[in-house]
Amino acid sequence: MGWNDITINNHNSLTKGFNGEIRFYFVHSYFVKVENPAHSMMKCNYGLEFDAAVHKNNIYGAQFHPEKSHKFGMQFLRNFAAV
Amino acid sequence: MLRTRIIPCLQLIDQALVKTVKFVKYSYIGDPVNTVRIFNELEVDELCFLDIRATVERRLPNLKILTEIANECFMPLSYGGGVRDINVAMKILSIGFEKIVINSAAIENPKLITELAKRSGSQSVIVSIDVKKSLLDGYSVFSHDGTLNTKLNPEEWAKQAEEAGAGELLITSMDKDGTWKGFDIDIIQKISKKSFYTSNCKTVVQAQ
Repeated sequence: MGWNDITINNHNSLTKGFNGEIRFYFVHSYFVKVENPAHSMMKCNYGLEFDAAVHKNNIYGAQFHPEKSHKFGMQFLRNFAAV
Repeated sequence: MLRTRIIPCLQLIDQALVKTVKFVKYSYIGDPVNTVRIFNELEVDELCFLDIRATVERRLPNLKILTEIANECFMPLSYGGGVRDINVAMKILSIGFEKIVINSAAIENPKLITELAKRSGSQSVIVSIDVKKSLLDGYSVFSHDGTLNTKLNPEEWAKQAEEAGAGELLITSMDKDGTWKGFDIDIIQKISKKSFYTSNCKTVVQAQ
């Protein structure tokens, strides 16, 4: 639990405007593992690397809490609203 | 990996934001909702609000002001003060706070820690421990805004709170509070040696 850095591994409309250091707030015990690496949008490392955000067609998912992640979360939600 | 978090701890007396010195002197410093806006701009990692007089004045948490705070805030929030049972805690979580801080109620009834951890997860349970040093007896845990010496040993109590299900500990040195003299490293080391190296429990420390 806490703030963690993420990396973008597949760009799409939700990753627009993110440059340099990107951090989000996480509060979870479980994580999702994508079967197809193309569906992984962001990665994060918490002892092991996991998929912090996923995307397939019109479905987007995020492990972190954008509403609690300052400007990073705002940007993420703004991007989502613009999809 | 996870970053170290910087968490300003803001003290309330009902709706007013106050600054304290050694738990005895209070001075009014402003409106909590405006303060949240300032901390949004500063992008602090989390905010912690404590109504320091709620338990002593037998008040319930002021849900109106907490709702205003939660609505304004873009970061994780914790609240403590006057949370004496699970229903009040669940109400505060439901208005948008992530974590509940308990102190006096946890000392009186350690089962509250376990109940809360079972209902909403350890990550939402912070046990706050106010410690004061005396020349003869060493450190002791105080409750009720520092007015009641529980005679508990801080290290033992921290360990017990952690085993009961606390996800984080908030350690406040009553001697250092508001003095700008830094942390009481001695007590942090004592507590962390005994508890959080053995589990996921994070120790959070405070000094202003």
